[in-house]
Amino acid sequence: MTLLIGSITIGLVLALLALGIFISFRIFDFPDITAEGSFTFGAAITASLIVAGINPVAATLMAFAGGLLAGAATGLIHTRFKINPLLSGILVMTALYSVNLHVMGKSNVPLLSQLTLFTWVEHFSIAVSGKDAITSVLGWSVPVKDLWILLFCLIMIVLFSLVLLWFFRTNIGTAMRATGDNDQMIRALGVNTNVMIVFGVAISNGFIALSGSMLAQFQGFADVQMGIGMMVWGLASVIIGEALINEKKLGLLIAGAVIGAVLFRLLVAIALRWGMNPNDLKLITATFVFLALVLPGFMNKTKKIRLVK
Amino acid sequence: MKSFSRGILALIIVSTILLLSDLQNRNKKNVIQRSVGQVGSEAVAGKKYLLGLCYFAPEASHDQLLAGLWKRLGELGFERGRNLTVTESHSNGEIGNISPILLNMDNLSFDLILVTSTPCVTAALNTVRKHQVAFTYCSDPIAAGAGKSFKDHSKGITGIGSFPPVEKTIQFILETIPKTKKIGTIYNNAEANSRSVVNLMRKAATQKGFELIEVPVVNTSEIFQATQAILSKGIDALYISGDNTCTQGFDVIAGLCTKNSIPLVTNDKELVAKGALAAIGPGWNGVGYHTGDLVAKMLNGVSPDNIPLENFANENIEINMEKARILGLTIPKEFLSSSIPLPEAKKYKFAFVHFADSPMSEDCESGLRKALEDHKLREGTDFAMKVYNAQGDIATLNSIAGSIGSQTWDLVFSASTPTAQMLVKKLPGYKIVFTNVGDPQAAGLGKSFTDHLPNICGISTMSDFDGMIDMIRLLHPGIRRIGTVFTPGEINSVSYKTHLEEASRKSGLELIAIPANSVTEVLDAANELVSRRIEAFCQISDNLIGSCSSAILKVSLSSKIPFYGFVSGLLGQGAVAVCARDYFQSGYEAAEMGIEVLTGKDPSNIPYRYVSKTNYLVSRKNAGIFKIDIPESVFKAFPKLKIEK
Repeated sequence: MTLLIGSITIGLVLALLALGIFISFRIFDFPDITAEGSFTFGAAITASLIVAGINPVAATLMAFAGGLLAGAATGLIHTRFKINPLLSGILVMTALYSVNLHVMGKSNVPLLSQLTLFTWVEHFSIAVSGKDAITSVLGWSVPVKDLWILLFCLIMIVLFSLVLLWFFRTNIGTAMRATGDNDQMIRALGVNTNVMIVFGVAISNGFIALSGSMLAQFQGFADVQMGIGMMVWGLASVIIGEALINEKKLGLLIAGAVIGAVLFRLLVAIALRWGMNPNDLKLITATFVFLALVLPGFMNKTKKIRLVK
Repeated sequence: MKSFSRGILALIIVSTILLLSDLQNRNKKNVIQRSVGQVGSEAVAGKKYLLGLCYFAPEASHDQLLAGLWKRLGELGFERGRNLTVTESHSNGEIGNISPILLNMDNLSFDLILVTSTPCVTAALNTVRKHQVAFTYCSDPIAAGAGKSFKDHSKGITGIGSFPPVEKTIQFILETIPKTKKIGTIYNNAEANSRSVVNLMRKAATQKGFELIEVPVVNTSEIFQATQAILSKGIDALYISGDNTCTQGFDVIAGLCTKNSIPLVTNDKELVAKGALAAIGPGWNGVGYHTGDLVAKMLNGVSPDNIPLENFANENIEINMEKARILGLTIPKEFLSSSIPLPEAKKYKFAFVHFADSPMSEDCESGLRKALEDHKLREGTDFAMKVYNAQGDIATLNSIAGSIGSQTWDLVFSASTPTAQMLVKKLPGYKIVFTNVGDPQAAGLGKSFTDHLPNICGISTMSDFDGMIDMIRLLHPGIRRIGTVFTPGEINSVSYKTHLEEASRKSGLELIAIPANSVTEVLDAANELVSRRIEAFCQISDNLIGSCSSAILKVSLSSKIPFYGFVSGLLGQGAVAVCARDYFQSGYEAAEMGIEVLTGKDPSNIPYRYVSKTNYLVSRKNAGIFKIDIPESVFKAFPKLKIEK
């Protein structure tokens, strides 16, 4: 049960990453690979600020701001200098590696004994139900503090999803969505698509940096290499979510990205729990992702055949 | 909405699968189960117990003993301050003070008087009349006068003796220090325990044919002079047994021995940290724990007359490997492998976590497995070990920590820096042993090697930079400038670079360090070093450079600048010499540290330490290529230097 709760919690933290990737890849149709850099950027900013004694909430918000800046840089490079989106992403991602090292001053900043958002939740849990309190969920005993952390992440992600949903329904948000769907049409309506792209990629990376910041606080350290591979996982989560939801409504797509991220962590947890050969871990996760992508379509098909009969 | 519920359904299905795989943990408390010792008499509810405690003087070993004692008593329901009131008194290390203290105690009212150390036992036999007495922390109860034999002992008193393994200690000295002719010992003649130990030493001297030099002292103030005197008599080793006076003044003895490079051997584990080469003897924490049962029984009114005396001394060997290295000693294998007693038969569950596939990490695992095998723990029957590998992915590492946290383990081994950080954060209730961590302080695992996070201990694999710089200076007299490539993205790499800089600076060398962030940049960085006119490569080892050091070696050959490294495999690729920390050995020692934890030692009390073994290797062939003569002075400075042809 702790495994389930832990996996869902990590899934929710990484759902922020999935949301960010969803914004750039799906809403803007902008293949942005700044993610690997901005994810670490967020972690680096938060870790350094927390070590410097800044309030964790401020440190987390600063990470979001840092992500905005990184994304804006990618957007500007693309729109101002007409550089291919992929290449702009690569440029910023590469540059961020050095920036991250400078931000942290070294390659790894431990937060093991620092005050983070999650230690706050732990303190809250201790205040409410006492130290090392354990409760029973369906017969499994679970530390109460894990449940509080899960609840905290859940509230946070629901809040962010709602904000995102609201934002993309405002005038500017609708214009942004239209930029991704049909940029010629929206340009004809007098919207500057370049501004929209810079703005959108910035928000996307803001979310990604926020995810990095949360993960660093959750796991207790920031490492300059922690972004490696994250983009692939985020993209996989988005696509799994889409395959499951299979609808174009914005709210459902956002929910799909979150569900996809959580589902993905659960699949990894199963692979781990079944105790397979550690060398096969990635092969197994790839298989799981493949199944998650194919099964929904397959189920639809069988349903149709049945209907035809 | 229908499609949304499909998403939720998928989540539920997958969660259920996960829960089903986790079914065996249901209804199990997710807390590591404490080993329950023998059943003793538990505290009677509502009753208040009074215990009088008299001891010789506060000292580290005695604190250990008491910690074990209170722990056991707590487990049996006797809690200090709640239902157990303890009146403590000690004699400040003066034998003359003991009797008045005990007389005073005898006139008060206690359920039991507990005395520790031999002088207190002897005094209790003479002075305590109205109370029952239990004792512990005493080498030889018979010599202390507690009885004729273990069964036929004085009325009203019983206890636990812990006779130091004198013969084994002598054997250790003779086998470890070659050509031992004279062994010295200092002791207080007024302590019965010391007298009986010295008697045994004398016997051993005649049997094994060495000379025993004895210097008696009366109190701690005489220790300095006594030590100077005994050192001037040309002894090969100094053996201090459990003499209370010497234990108190141990710092003085250890300081003088270190100055004169004389190996110091004791029977007291706590003294190893204070500068002894080795300790062969009981772990006092364990003795205290064992005493807890006796004290509990007697508090509940069991008469001591019916309880025979007992000898309880598990023969632990603790060796300060760093000290052995400084003294140039090789510890015989039999002492190494028996240095920790075997834990009781039980099937242990271990987890082993790699961060990524690297030769170093793999060596650690094989070393660990070898150590478990050498300690007669067989996989399948005595332990099960589950190996995890995050394959370089931080998100997966998080999931692995979650997976480990959902199960019960006796020990969790970690084979990298991020792994150790993650596990210690995520698994506060588990005991973690790390290896393959270069700099635990930089990783946030503790303020120092002794003052560290509570549930973790382990072996640091920081390279021997001072040794390397010494070797380079001996091979290249007058060298001024050396160079290395490092990876700013790896915490170990940066910390190694800093330490190498420090070591170079101390010896007046200039270190040029060029950063490289990817495989392709390593070659450029190496060429840059050549253009900065370095006279030798002194290449630190990290994960990135470990995988492409051949690129630097190529540059070394083409530019005729000799290469020195910290990984033994480099010798075959053209390095002139290497000072290689042995990762296999680091895994081996991590396992031994793990076994210590299994035997009941609290990880927070185990200091971190560097891996003990460093392989110094030099290649004549490669040296020839660079026209380097290997002078005799190198062999003097590195007695264990091996030559590869």
